[in-house]
Amino acid sequence: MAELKAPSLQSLLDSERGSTDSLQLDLDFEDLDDVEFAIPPTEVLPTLETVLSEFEADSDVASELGVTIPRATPTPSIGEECALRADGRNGGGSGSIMRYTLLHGISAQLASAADRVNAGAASACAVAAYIAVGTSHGHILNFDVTQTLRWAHQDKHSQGAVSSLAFNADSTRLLAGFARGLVAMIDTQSGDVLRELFDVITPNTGVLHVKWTSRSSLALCADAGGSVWSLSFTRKLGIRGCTSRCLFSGARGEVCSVEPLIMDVQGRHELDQYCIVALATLSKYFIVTVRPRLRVIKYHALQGPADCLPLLAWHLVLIQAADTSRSVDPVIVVGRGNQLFFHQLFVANGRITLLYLRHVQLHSSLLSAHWLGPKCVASLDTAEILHLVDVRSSRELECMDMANAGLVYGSAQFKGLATGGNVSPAFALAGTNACYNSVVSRGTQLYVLGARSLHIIGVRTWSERISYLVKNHRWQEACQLALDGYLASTERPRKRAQAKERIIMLFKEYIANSARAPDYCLGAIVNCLITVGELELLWTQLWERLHNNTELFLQHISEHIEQEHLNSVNPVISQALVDYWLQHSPGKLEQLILKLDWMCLDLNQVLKAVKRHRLYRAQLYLNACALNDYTAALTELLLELTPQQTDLGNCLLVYVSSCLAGRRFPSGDIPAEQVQQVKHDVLRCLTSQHSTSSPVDELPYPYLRALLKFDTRETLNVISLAFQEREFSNELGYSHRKRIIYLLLEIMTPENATWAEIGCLLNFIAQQISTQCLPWDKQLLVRVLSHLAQENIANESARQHSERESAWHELLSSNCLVDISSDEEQLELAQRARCYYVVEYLLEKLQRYDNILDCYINNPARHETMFAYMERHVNASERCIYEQLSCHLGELLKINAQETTRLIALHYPDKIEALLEQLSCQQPLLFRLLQCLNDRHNELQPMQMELLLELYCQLEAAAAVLDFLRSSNGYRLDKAIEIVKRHELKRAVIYLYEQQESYAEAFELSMELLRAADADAAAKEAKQLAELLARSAQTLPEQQLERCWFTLLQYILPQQELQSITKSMLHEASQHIDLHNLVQLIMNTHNVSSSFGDIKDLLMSMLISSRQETEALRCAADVLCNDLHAEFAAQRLVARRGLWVTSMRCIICRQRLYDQTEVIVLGACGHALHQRCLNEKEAENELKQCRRCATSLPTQQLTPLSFPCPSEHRLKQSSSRQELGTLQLKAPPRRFC
Amino acid sequence: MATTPRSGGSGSGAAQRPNGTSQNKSCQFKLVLLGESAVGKSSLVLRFVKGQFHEYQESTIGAAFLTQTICIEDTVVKFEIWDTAGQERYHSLAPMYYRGAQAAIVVYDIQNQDSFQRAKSWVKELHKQASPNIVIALAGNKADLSNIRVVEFDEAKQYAEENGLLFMETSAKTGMNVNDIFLAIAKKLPKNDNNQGSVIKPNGNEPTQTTNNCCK
Repeated sequence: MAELKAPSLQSLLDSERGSTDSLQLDLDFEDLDDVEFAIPPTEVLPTLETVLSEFEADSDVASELGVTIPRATPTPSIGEECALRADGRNGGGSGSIMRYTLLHGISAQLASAADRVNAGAASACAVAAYIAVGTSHGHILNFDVTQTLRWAHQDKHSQGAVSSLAFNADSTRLLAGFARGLVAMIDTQSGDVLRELFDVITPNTGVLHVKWTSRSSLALCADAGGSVWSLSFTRKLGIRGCTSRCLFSGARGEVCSVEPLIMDVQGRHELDQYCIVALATLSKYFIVTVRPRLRVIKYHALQGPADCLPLLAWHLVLIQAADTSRSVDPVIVVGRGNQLFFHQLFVANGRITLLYLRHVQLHSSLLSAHWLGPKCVASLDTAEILHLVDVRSSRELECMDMANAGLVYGSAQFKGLATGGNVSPAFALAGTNACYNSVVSRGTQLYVLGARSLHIIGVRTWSERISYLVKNHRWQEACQLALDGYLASTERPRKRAQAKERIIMLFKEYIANSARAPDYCLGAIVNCLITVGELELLWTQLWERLHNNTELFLQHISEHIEQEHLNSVNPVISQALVDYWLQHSPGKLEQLILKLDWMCLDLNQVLKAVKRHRLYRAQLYLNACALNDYTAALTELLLELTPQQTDLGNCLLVYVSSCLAGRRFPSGDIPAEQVQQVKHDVLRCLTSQHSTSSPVDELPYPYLRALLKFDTRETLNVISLAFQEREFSNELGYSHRKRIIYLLLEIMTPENATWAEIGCLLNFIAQQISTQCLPWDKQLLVRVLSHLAQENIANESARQHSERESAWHELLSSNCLVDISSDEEQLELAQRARCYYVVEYLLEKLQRYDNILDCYINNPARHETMFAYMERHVNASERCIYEQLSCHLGELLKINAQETTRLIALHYPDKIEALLEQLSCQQPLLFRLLQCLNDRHNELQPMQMELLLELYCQLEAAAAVLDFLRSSNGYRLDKAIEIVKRHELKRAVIYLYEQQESYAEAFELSMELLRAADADAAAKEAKQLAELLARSAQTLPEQQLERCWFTLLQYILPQQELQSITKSMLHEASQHIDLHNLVQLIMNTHNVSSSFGDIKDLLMSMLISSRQETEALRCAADVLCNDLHAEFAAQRLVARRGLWVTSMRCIICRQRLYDQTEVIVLGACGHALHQRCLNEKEAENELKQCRRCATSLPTQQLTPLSFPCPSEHRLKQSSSRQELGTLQLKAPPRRFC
Repeated sequence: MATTPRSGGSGSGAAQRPNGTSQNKSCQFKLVLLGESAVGKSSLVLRFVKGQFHEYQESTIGAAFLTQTICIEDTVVKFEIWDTAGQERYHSLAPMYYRGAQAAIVVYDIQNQDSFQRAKSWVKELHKQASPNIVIALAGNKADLSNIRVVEFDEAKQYAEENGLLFMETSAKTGMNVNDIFLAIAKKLPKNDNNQGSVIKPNGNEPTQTTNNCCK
């Protein structure tokens, strides 16, 4: 036990402050993939992995070696079985990432060792250039990479199971820790034991971990007591020695896991000079430097369930920071429970810093966490399912069930079973699932030790995964994976080339493998080839193999053409495509032709086909692009055109328009050098006088005529679009325009066209003239104007009319008509043609504002604008807004009463009177105006309100009158009653009476209504009456109220048809009138149809209320008696108390008190006075306080006693009034004689 | 409905007058309206050009042509507006109008999900077939009825941002955003004078033009 003194680590820890990772960087992991970076192999010798991975090819290595396999091997398809459970990231690739291998040779040796030499089950393993496996009976077996057993070592000191094994960096030494505390160092070449250290750790504990550090002579050892020891090996004068020093004492927190940082990168790293170790206890973890001196870099709390051990693993990772700087730094993954935390360790400003990177949460508790390459972490969970987690995306890539491996647990060591179990309960609990020494990683492989077997889980590279999928004939997934890889490598040309090669290889494998089913997964392969651009392979190798099963292939190719991934195919294929789609869907063929380059088509075949199937878009396209003939197809199709063929017609219009604008149909542009020629050709073709065949009965200009006949408006649009081109805007162009317009006029004679069409044309011409694009021509203008100014056109729609108007307006505003006629004449014409927009324009122009409103009023489309116009010019006196307004008030009110009223109320409030006056004979309009004014909450005079009410009575229904009365209040009640009475609107009168609080009148009137009403209405009427009476209860004298009720009931009760409401009426009444009288009434009036049922409730309620009242009376009497008694007792108490007089003189007259007159003593102060000295006033008011000292007198003597009667108004009738009336007791101040 | 076209026109005239003979920059743009039938294309244009609104607008036949001039800063922008018909049978005519157009307004009805889908396909077609630097605006019309909307504002906004479109919800009925969307388009359009075809050709009768302005 060398130097067992408490180390300074704890104190260091205490002084160090807890870390806070506030620094947030967007870090991006980049792998250091050898393939990707083309890093040459670092070792000349084949590594263990490469050798081992060769076994996969034939899993019969063991049998070749002549070793029998004792147990059935786990099927290599474990991966596939659990692929279902994978998260399905890239649906295709699942199950292909992890590669499972059972090391048969080693497993066989382990089995035989257990059987033959009683070595026990395997308990720990270590992997470097060799594979060492320790057993529970202290045996160590060392294998080389070919799984050959090199040596076996047996512990002679009965130190129990081998609990931990570790190779040093160059695999020359093996450290072995035992369950009873021995640490042994063995030469890996020979198997000789070099050192046997019995006393380097806490006595009577077992070894949990042995680890080499980055220094060759320094190792670490953790024991079951939770302490960590550093073992430095010395060799002085050829004698091997070892000094052990306690780094961390278990007394202050038990260390479960130790992980030194081993940097095996090429090149130097700043951290090389340090010897860094990560330690984890059950509550926190530390990063410490052991050399050059012991220091804590950082520590963090680590929470987790009690039965979970902390997990630590280092790996060097290429990290790309947000500022694009790259660095290779060690990253530690710390796991506990189901959480994984990633931290980067680096040197900043000379200090070693730990930086939080990210956090991954898995679904189940973890047993182990190991890096498999710099991208992934493999974690075994408590259900022995291995999860492969991609660090960059924090996603689970794949999982694999390892239950068959029979994983070895190190719980015996954690529980200290070999040393008597002297470990803490927390440690023992946490150690239940320990597998630190049975799951180890090396490179991209994970070794899992079973009791009698050793398993490898490897991670396949992209290329290997493709091969694996190919081997299993999962072409779909293979292609998807290959494409993903190819697309991901966009920015790396070198990798891209490699990926392309791989895809071509994949294609060759496909060709070789799919002879039997040539169209199996064809789409995926086609997609691959098109994406990488290897079209030749597609047209030759793949096509040739398909023989007659070309349908699927063609469909796939068509899909790609439609999505514009392809614009050119091999002519062979194109022929097949055309044939195929001609049979199945000529429409689709047209789509394809329009998207394909014409160079790859068999023109003869295609042109014939499109003609036969009337694919005119394709026909136009091919004729124009391929044959460079822009008119042939046009002339051919134009002659076939009938007005019913909308699609063809539209297509031709678009084609003509495109050609005239210098664009290619259906997309793109005509080559610049051809544009002029094409435009010229197309125009000449359209305007040619006769067609090429020229039948005898042909009308002149057949082509243009056909288009116009098909759709005049659109054809004119085409021409107007064409006129905007440069060719039509010079002198020559203007004459062209003129010619075309004359042509149009020639074609569109009334015999050949409807008026609507000619109207279109003339509008078009008007537009052309107004934009001054036509040479001056009076004749034309006159003709156009005569159309525009027509008084009546049959079947003219509103739209046509408005177009006519706007064309005219255009002409006027561009001053084209100046020379033909004056504005006055125009005005005349426009008014006759009802073109009010034009009239308005002219009036505005002539500044004749006085009648401008007529135009607006006559033009329904501009009504809205009219109010805006008035609003805008309301202050301009020359516009005569008010005059026009008052003149057209009626019409305006009819158009929009609200707007009109708004205008009046806002701008002419003082003219309201006059306007009302003006309307006095037009009652509906007057009413409308007043109504709107009232709605605007304008303050109307009572007179006006009454006028409005009058109008309401005249023009509206009774209900509306009532609503009006309810919602407004500017009227005088008496006048209103008068008006309403005159119109005999009784209900309104009732309402007004009620407002006036003349309930009696209201009631009388209502009764009248009730008497007049028929059965259904009567019930409602009666209810309203009852409500009225209920409302009047507050104001109406009691007697009168009762009388009203009686009148009502007397009417209702005998009525047979009102029986349904009798009960509720009685109930209602019983609240307001005396029950006795009510019953009396019922008895008297009910003789007609007396049924006990109706009055039963009434009688019952009377009885109940009578009982309640008796009860209440009794209670009240009791309380009263009690109170009186208490009062009396209190007074008696006061009366019997002695009095103390402090002064012998009267406080008023200052005479002696006892002069045989009456004396009053004033309570507590003890002052007294003569009765006679009280002056009258005071005597009247009674003494409230002592005059002298202002002490108030005891008040209860003077308080009159009174108490309220329950239900006063019931008691009035009752005989008990005398007993319960206000009782007054007055106790005057006491007098002495 | 702040300005009627007339006042807009005279406004531009007034802006031109102080400069005397030296004309302001003036540009001319072709603009096309696309969208399903009955979404309010014609109403939108009518509101912009004439400041009117008809509750019962007839459906457009073929395409209607209207012009409107607006002023932004020192530039007079003249819109030549082609208001296309939304009915399916006129769909195949649309390329005639939008090829060669410098701007397009794709209109949908915020109460109608189908019209929004149709608008999306119009945008797609425009991206594919129209000139590559066409300015496209997406207008969600009938915004006055937003209490019974079906297409959410955010959904359309996001779509517009993804596709680089101008986006506004408009109402031809109330005039909300109508002028704004045309203004926004005018601002986004390039206004250099040597832009081929988009500049008004200098025509011979300048004097009549001036008198024309004076008359207003």
